[in-house]
Amino acid sequence: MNFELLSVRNLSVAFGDVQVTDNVCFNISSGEIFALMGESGCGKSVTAMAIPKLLPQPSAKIVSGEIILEGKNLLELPSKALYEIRGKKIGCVFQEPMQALNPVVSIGTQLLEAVRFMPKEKRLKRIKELLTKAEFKDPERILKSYPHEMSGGMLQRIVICIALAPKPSLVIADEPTTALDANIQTAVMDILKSMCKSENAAMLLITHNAHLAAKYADRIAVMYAGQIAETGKTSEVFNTPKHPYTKALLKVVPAKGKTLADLKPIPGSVLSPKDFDKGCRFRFRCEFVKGECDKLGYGVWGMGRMRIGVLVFYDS
Amino acid sequence: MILNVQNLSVTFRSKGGVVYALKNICFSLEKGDVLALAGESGSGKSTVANALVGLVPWEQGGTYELFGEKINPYQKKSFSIVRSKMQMAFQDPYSSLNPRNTVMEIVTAPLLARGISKNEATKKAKRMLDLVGLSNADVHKFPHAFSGGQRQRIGLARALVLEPKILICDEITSALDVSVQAQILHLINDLQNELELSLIFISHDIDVMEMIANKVLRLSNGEVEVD
Repeated sequence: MNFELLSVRNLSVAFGDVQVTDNVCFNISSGEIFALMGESGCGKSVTAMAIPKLLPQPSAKIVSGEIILEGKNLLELPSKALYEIRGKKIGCVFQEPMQALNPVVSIGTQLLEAVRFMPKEKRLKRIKELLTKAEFKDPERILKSYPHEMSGGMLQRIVICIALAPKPSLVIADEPTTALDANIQTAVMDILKSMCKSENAAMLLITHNAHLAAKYADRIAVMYAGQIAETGKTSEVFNTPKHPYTKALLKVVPAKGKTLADLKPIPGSVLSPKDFDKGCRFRFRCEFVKGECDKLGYGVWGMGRMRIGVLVFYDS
Repeated sequence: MILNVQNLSVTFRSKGGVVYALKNICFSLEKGDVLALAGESGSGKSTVANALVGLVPWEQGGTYELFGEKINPYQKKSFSIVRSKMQMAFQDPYSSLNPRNTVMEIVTAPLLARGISKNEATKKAKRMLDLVGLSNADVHKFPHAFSGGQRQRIGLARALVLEPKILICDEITSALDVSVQAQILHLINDLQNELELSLIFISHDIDVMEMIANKVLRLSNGEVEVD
């Protein structure tokens, strides 16, 4: 039985005076893979890092919103209680595995650190079980190795083991395969998905790679300029995109059988947070732009589904 | 035939002995061709590119012909001729530009190194920056002020300012977002038509290669893979 594990409601984050994300809303059910997709600078990572409160302090400030994990609002918890949540309830897998691991500490010690909450006699068994699940053939040897002795793909699998070791209910994977080679990406994602399923952890997958989101996510939210443009089941969003940005984004994804002429670049670049105004933020790059686009304010329709600004186009 | 490479081998020495990074690679390029170099990481794609412009030493036994002219790949000097006709754009737009030089300094550097006057170099650089879609206001900025896609445009301008006939693109879109990747691919296509370039396009994305290339050279463990 799936229940609502995480609910992010009206989350707005600001750096200094500049608000970078605006009323972001989404829910993740237990065991589900939920992808946040969008271009660089859209606020995907900021949103993800706000959940375990890992945003740089004091420059980042959560202006408004709630982050409810298993019924508790994380934003109201004291910092001591957050220590219990980070790692234990929420595991993180970051983009650069080389930077996520300590270069002078053996892999075994780093893995043991992740299971320090467990009774001593169970720790070694648990990490060996995880290493086997991550398809390491010789866990004993891996435990004695150091990060520099391993490839990027192997290191990322270690990071996945560390994230899943304390049996978290949610794993935040921030561009987990961007730093890896294309042929290893799928292998690492397959392991990440199968390990999350077997450990019954939900995953928040942050990616700019539409192929990855399409292949692995159950549901997806497309982010643009700090707002959620569209959310839905992955098949729905990819087959019948509604938001002009999603439509434009899917047109630039190279795919088998497409020619260069089919690839329609989106003109310009993502709006800087300093230039956000009340109008639709995509209007400068949108092929469906109309006069009212710069007047229509932002509003949340349903649970963060889409902006009022673009409803004009959904109806017509 | 504008480029003909026979028996290109490159070795690296390590503790365990001599390792062949490339072994007897042969290929050629016709005018207007887009040759895709495909293969997994470590298969030797970038080493081919580096060997072509003389950034890694060749093993004995290879021959190299460029626009009908025999190049001696064992003499450093001969690559000066190569580089006037063949230039390279790199993968990482963040580390391939000197952070302490302005865009104008970066793009004029190859011209000044060839003894072209500063006035002439500035003129040429401006024209090339305009061609890759950077405005006049950008020329005195430093690389940190630009996004990944814009930096890649600067890298392309630097490579093209010497008016080469062959451009090697080493994974130039790998570090970019899909929307920016589409912009750069279209830019490459436009530049190719406008400047009558032939391209050697290195990528690990099969979909991208199918879009842009008319020939494919597949490498595996430093050797040409036969289909």
